[in-house]
Amino acid sequence: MFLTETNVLAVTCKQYLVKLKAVSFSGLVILQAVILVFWTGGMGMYGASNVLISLSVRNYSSDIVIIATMIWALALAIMQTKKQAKNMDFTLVSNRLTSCLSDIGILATISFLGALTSVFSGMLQRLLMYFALEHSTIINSSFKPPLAELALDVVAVALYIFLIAAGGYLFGMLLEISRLFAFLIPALILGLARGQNNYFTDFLGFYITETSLLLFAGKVLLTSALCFALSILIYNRMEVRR
Amino acid sequence: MAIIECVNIGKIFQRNQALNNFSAFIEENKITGLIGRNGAGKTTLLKIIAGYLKPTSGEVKVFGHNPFNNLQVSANLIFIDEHMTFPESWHLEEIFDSIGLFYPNWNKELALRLLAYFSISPKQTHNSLSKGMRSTFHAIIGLAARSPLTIFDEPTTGMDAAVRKDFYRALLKDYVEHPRTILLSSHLLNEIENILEDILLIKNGTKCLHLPVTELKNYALGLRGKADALNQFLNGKEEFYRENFAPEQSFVVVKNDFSEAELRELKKAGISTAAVPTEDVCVYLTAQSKGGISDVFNRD
Amino acid sequence: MSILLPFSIIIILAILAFWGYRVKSKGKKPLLPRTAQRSLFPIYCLLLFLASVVVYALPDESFVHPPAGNIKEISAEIYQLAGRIWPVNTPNQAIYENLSESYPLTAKELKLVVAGDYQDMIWIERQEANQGQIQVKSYVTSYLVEDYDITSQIKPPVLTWEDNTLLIKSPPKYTLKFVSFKNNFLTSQFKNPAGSKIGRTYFGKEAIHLVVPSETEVLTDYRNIVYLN
Repeated sequence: MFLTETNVLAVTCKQYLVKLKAVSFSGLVILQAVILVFWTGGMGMYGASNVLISLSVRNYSSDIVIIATMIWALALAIMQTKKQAKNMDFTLVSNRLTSCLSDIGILATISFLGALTSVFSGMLQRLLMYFALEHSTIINSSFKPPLAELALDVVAVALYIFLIAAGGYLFGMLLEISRLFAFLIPALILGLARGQNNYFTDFLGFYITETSLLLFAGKVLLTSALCFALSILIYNRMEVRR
Repeated sequence: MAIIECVNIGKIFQRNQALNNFSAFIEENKITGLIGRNGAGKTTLLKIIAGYLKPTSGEVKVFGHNPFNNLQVSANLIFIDEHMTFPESWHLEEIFDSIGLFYPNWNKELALRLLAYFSISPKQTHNSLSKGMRSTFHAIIGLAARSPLTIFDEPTTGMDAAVRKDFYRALLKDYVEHPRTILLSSHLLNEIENILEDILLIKNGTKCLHLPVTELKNYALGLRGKADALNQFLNGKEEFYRENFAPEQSFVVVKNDFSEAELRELKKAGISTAAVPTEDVCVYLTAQSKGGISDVFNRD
Repeated sequence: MSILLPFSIIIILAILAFWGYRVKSKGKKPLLPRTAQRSLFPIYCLLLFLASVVVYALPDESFVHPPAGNIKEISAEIYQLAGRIWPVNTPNQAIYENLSESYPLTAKELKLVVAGDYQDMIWIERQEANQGQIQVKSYVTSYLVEDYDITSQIKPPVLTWEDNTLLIKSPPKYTLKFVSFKNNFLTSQFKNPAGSKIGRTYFGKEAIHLVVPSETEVLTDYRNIVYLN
């Protein structure tokens, strides 16, 4: 007896479009730009010297920008579960499933765009350095990494960001059940990390020791699917626009 | 045909019972006003109907389905209140476009015309609107979405009198052209009684009255006269309100089921009768105590 | 601690950037105009793309500086000679000449004075053909930083010729700073460990090759001298 018929896919896509238009990347751009401009010290340095010459090499990579982007994505994932963001969905046509599915789409998109910008921010950094310093002080060997390597970086970083975002999303959902989790989960992680057992290192190792990108992708997608499934299960029972 | 069926629903928030054994059936393509005092459970009821909240007990059906987490129900209703959330940086026109994505009957042209009429620029952002303008904007959305079930929860909060009047007229006009089920909650009945067909009175989380407005107009009768004389006629009658003003003088509101003969006798006994405005009926019916606010001051 | 500090700064920065944006968006007046905010990200992406194109288009030669002008590879003869004298000379290591001077010799004796921190080997060779003048050459084997040859930036010793006395002094102490772009550590797990290995970094050796007339006697206190004939 419905007058208007719709389906999950159609609503999810529409919600995704609306959310994508609403997501602001300005914060990310400013974050990355600030790091590029002010983080001039690089990732570390080493040196050697003899009687006459002291020689130092400063290392640069995009790791800092990538880590900052990960944190940005984590914060954004948590924000997606907050009341205000969810109210936005339920102001218009939605159910819990479409709301979560469109969030997953958004998180996947920001993972990819975050990875793309953070990896290629290294190129901007190189260019800035090239014109800021005497060329002779730049070691040419890794100035122009092979494009295949950059592509691999983008994919791997996107997977990492997606994994972190999925974790953040589940964490945000748990926070919606009870604020206690805001304290419990960090305590649990710290406890595992500092404890005698190796659970935490084993857990991290599960991802960071994987050398095959394909297997890594499988692990990440499986873990995030689990996080999202749990989130949807939690959310399905939750009331909205309270 | 009942488009909304509520059977014995109850809703408990922590320790607060917001709805208690509430049952009502709301028919298709009618404008129903949901009237009640502050905290009577109006918003809770509407949110349960919209599927946002889950009733603690009882059963709700909207379009024949449980509305909680139901996409089809959601696609067929729009819920208008002052807490509608839109992306902060969006222009009103962009918001209109996004609504058009979800509601196939959406009439953007009408929405823009209404916006222009109320002198709100479509280039403004949602959070730069004043409270009254925001309510107006939300009300416009509710009008132009032409959703089969349109729920307005206190739509006129913050609007000035002129805008309110215009809004209700616009609602009625659009309703006549595109009949649909409209649920309108308010605590001010006199403003909306002209456009309502049915009235659903809610008190302390339970249904108090569900009547067509025309019947409500003759629902109660006010009697004024000597208290002694009055009491003779009040045997077994349901007394909604009683006020003792001058010594021995009382004003009593009772259910209007007097016969012609009884009315003549009332006149003979020196008791004046008067129709009670619907607004007052609702106030009396939903009052917590019989004497009203003056009871608080009459300590003796 | 040293590794924790930058990371915590980054975390704080990221959170501030995010919350700053949230707080800003709640206020009436946005930090950036709306259109600027919308176009910021596409502009940034375009900038990154252009930067990448430019980086790959940069000429490789621009990294070698100064472009090989003051150094040149030495002849095969000397190379063999050096191989004999320098004990741990790797076979494929290049030897450059970074200084070449000649001075008129008017006496039978040449006084050789070494000052400052100069400690490197001095080779003395007598040649018949070389009457009335001495020739001084400074050789240096390649200095590598992560396999990148920086020999051209190595300063030769300072020579002073006065009154048939050759004064050899080391240049003042100096610092060489380099910048190296590394593979991202976070994704190194997927890369061939051999491919991302850091290249060799080592100091080269230096020596002075002094050619004097056959009859000349060299007077010096300096110990690190090899007479080639």
